[in-house]
Amino acid sequence: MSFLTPSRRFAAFVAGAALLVVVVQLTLAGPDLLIVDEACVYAIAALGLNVIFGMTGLLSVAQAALMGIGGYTLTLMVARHVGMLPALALACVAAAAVSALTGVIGGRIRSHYFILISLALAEGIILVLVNDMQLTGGTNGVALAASPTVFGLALGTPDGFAYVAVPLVFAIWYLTDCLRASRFGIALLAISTDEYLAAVAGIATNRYRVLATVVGGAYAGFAGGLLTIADSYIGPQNFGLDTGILLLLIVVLAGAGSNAGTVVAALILTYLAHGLLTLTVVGELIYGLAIVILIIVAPDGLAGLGRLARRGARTAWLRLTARGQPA
Amino acid sequence: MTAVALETDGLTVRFGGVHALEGVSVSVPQGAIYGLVGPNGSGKTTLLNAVSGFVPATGQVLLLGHSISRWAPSRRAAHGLGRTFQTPKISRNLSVWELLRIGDHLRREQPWWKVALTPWLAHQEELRMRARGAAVLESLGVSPALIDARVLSLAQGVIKMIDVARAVIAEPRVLLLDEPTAGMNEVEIQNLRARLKQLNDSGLTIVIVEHNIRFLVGVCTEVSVLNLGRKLCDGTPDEVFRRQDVVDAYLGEEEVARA
Repeated sequence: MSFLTPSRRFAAFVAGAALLVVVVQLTLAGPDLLIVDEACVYAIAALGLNVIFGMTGLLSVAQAALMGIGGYTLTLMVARHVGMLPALALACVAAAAVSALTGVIGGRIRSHYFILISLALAEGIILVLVNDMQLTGGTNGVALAASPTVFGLALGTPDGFAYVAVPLVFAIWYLTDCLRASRFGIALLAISTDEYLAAVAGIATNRYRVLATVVGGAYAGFAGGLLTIADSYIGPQNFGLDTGILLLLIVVLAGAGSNAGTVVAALILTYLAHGLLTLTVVGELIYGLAIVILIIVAPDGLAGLGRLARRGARTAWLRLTARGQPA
Repeated sequence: MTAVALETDGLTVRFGGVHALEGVSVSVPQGAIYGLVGPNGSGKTTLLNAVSGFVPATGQVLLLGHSISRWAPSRRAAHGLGRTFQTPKISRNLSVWELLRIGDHLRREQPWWKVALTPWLAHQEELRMRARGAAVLESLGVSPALIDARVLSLAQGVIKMIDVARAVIAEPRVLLLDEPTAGMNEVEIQNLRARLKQLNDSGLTIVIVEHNIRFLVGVCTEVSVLNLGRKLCDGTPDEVFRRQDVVDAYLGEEEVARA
């Protein structure tokens, strides 16, 4: 059992979001702030992938391409004078619909082969984005036709975006935690444990598998829309396979479907990717090695490390308190 | 005449050229504890799988009067068909409570938005269901203190009993058990026997696939013998296990003498 009751957990999320906004405001500036912004976007997309992969067990590299679907949907809608919020909602719907395709096709394919379906979808989407010049502007991309503001905060600026994105990450994290505790989340747990077990528990495995891809896809669409708003621009280079694999790494590093781990891993890996990739080819090598070492040291990801740390702290505390008592 | 809980009519399953089941008709009365026996490869587990909807079969399956032959496995479960597996289907290291939550999925009413908007109500509901989970464990003779233990860290006999709890918590009307005593020691088998009788007294119809003839003789009201995919005979355990063809096909003289 979780040691936080749901009400306290809710309060913790609100407090955490507020605290982080203050920290961001006080400490970060310039390029660091840009990394936080991007980490927020990736955290949301990775939470969606956590529903698809971490909770349901469908290994997918299409999450970045689905972000692209969301981003382009938003851009095209805004260019046609649709309001920013409805456009964002449509971005979610479009990405969810495309993601559902993987679920429908993948329902007939078991386990790891799902990644091939997702790979085909991801490459297909990128090909369309690059080649359909009229619609997407090809490799040049398109500028966003309007720059939105929320409560006077310009979302096109790094700090304005952070004020909105950080609480959004916490809100979506909270929602994903609720999802996992709900009837839906238990169905996904059953499916990822064993298809037969799920079926005899009355869980319609195919339907829930598709639903998981729909929900996860909607997260990706939302994240893609946010990224487009942050950049005031969209181009296909943001949604390639490298980003898809980065998102997958975030969930793997998080470990065992952990939402908290996903958010922390998003921050770490975004920072690593940016900080090191600027150091040319050697940077990529270090990045790759760091991933390998992380997975060797922490096979259960950050969630596993967190459990270890909690257990360590508890034994240390017990030893400390036991010392004061007579033997 | 008593009502029929589960009935198969001319059930046939073929794997390629192999006839795993050939026109098997069994009729399980409501409130029965029904045994299915037969040598290895006789089609006992295939029969359970066909009834659960896991293998394509021709012929009829009737559950509580409804023809369920074309239903998906999950719909059959929702209609009151519970089952366990010879080897419990637990590929990852779930806690006992997580497994029971999965079993209890049908009775759970917690859409995610309710959990998000009224977390305190969801929490109360969770505590209620957890208490029920502990009660079900206790009613099956498993210590409720094990509810937070990792399933795979427990002894095989306990895991099998927890798998029964996983099926029972959903309150099925017909429960299929696949080799429940496999991996259990003598004490655990005694416990299982008593608990199954208890469940049966409360109205549950039970179908057991089992090798352990002594166990079946003590607990079943009726048995069917399968051999090479066909039904050899059925009747009360006393009648069936004295038949010469059953002894020849399966039991051997020794087993009969022991039972």
